[in-house]
Amino acid sequence: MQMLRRGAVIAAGAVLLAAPMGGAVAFASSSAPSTLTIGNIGDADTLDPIFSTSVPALDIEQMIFTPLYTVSPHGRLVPEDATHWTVSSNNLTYTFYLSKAYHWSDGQPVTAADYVFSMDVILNPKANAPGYGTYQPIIKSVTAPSPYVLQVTLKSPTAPFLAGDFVNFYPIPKHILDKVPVSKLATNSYGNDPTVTDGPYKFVAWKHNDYIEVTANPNYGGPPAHIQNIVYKIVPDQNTLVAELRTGQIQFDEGVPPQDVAEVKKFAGIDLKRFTNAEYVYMGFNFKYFKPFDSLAVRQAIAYGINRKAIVKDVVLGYGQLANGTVLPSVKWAYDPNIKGYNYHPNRAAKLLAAHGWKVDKNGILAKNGQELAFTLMTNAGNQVRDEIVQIIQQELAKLHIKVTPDIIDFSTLVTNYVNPGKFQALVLGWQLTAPDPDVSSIFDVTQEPPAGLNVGWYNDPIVNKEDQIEIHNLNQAVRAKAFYKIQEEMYKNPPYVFLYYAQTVTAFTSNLRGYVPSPFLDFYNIQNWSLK
Amino acid sequence: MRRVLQSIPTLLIIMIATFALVHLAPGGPFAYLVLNPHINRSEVLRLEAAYGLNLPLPIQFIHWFWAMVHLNFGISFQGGQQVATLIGAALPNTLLLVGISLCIILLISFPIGILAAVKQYSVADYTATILSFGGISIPDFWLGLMLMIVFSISLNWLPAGGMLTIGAPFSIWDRIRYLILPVTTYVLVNQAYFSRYIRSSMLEVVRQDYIRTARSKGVRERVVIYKHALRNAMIPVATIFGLTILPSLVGGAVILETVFAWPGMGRLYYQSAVSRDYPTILAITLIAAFAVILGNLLADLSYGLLDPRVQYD
Repeated sequence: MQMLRRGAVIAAGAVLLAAPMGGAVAFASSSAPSTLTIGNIGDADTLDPIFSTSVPALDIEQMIFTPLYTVSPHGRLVPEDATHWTVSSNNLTYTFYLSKAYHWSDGQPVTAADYVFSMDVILNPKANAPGYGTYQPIIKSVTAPSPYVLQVTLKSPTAPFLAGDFVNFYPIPKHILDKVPVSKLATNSYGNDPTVTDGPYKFVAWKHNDYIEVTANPNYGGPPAHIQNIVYKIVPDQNTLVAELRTGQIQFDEGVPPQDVAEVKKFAGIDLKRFTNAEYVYMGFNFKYFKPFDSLAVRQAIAYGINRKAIVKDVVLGYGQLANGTVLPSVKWAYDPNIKGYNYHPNRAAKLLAAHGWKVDKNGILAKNGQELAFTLMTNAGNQVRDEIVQIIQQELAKLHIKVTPDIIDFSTLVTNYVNPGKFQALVLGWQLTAPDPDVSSIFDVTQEPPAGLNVGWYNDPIVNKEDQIEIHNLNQAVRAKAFYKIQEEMYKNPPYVFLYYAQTVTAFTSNLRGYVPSPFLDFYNIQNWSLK
Repeated sequence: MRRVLQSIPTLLIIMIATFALVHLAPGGPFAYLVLNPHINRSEVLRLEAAYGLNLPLPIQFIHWFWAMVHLNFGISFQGGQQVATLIGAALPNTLLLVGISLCIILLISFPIGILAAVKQYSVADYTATILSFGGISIPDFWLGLMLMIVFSISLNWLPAGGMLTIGAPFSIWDRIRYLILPVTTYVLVNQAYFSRYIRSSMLEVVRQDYIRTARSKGVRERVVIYKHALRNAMIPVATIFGLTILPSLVGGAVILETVFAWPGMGRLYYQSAVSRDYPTILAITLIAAFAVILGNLLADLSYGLLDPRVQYD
């Protein structure tokens, strides 16, 4: 989960003022507005896709770059610059056949050499690219046997590669950047001013903390974009975003906060869409720093003791879907719909604890062999939803005589001092999954413990560990599906988390907008097909 | 001259203190990477080493100090822009917003302060007092949002946020439209500090013997107030101005700039603090400290103009 999550943003526009906004840069041939202004709370870090890490940067990159392939809202892989691809029989070499239609905005063709260059930069430790840690362990070599053929060879068969990390891989132009020393690429002006790109839109201007502007790219290799100009306006305050939606200063909002949905619905000329996002919120146990979590009964009692339905209803006002595991329901081939979650059952929770010898001590807290069921529950400050969830959990568990001490600290401190080293007792956080592959071995596998890995709760389940290896190394989807079913079942039986809910997003946009399909994986999927009536 | 030299050790102490505080704050600039399941922990350690964050703090300080001596603010950890570029983009916007607001504040707080002092306990004084305390007590984000609800959402007269209509040709009226709400909020909240200081300083002066002497020898009331009283009352006021005006001009207004989506220094500062972007935080803190010292110096110098008894050696 990134810091600059779109979290809750507002956009869209009242028709009255939308027209003058577009009119300012309108092209005389059409009476339809030619500019779409999108509102977001955060600014991009850099627009160079090799070095960017923020959500706003990803948003703009979807407009100004073309990937080898992208992913549909239902998680299918969709060819873009690569017309098709093959996998060698040993499951190690992926061969991508590139379209000859795509050109950089200065007219040069996009070739396999650009992809080789881009990956070489990532894999060069001197570049300090954030993708180094992702690709270095799995990629052996990237070559261009001919100008329009790209070969990626992996170190060992890695099933999550194609539908995971490599989805939406954007190349950077070799002919522009190969003279720059690799160690200087991260700070090169290309990140601030990417004038040579290959997407449906091309870069116009970036005023930091103010707006980013792009315009339709006449050299685009795919079907030309319908909307002439897109302005990505940075509005850091949620209330101001709603106000700008009303005044028509913005016409698209990537995420209306639940409490504002009813108000936005009343705005004339605004439509809303609701969809389940690729993000789930959980309460995580730490098996190393609070020993009682080793007891299955304790974890089950906590899960039964938390009213998840009430959290979804009262905290996110219904804009959530109960989550029972790590696989997204939209990834149908791997999602096991029969997994039952732990529904609210305080009596069962109390009986479980009593049956396992937990008794109320003189402090009014359950205890066994001198160990009290009292732990600290952390989350990051500034996120009202998580703050409220922590309070609800505290109150619910207090009824079971489990003492929860909330600790709400600023994000950077929480991550650096507690999450990274795996030193906490329990926490409420979320994971945002950016690709449709359901592999989450980086979070739950025993090989991923801190300090190097993300298994920060020190979860260690032999069945999960075994099935992780199967789903990672076997490319057969039926075999992988079986492994994911087993993982989901095991995580129900031996829960690493109390899975709370999948977040739902509500987007708001001008009712003039046509062709918009919300996607949990890409905020601006197929934006070249959008149009304004 | 001695005063100027005195500010050098002050600046040095500020540099050491700021550097230590920024690095002692928990968390780190690459913390945000770690919650992405596709980036592992060793990657963060590698990035920290690449940016020299694994070196001992005194060594890091010397590197930074040496760069500062050469006016090299360094490169932001967030996206690799030059810090000087980021500040160069934000500073003019803040100068515009805060500069206009301060001009208006000065224009109105002098008459209000003087009137309230000269006619103490009059209706005008009470009105000014109530307005001032109202202004001080109302949080700026709340007042800003209320103005926005009335003038942007309900009446739809003024834009809610931003600096200008993006893509529209430059027009003064467009720029003014975007300035009205943030400037109004700034002025209403901040004028009280200035007018209250002017009032209390004037009150002290008008009770002095020489004012009574001036009046008794038949000098016109206008001349008494504006020539004899105001000039003396300005001495403490100048200190306050020196300490607030310059720093506000470069430091910006964090909350107002956020509420009104104004891309200024306050927001840059806040964001760099949240993301632990050390080079940016340090650069802005240092510029603000420099502004305080300079403002103080200017205030000291102005005493000489206001009061001929003050001599500089």
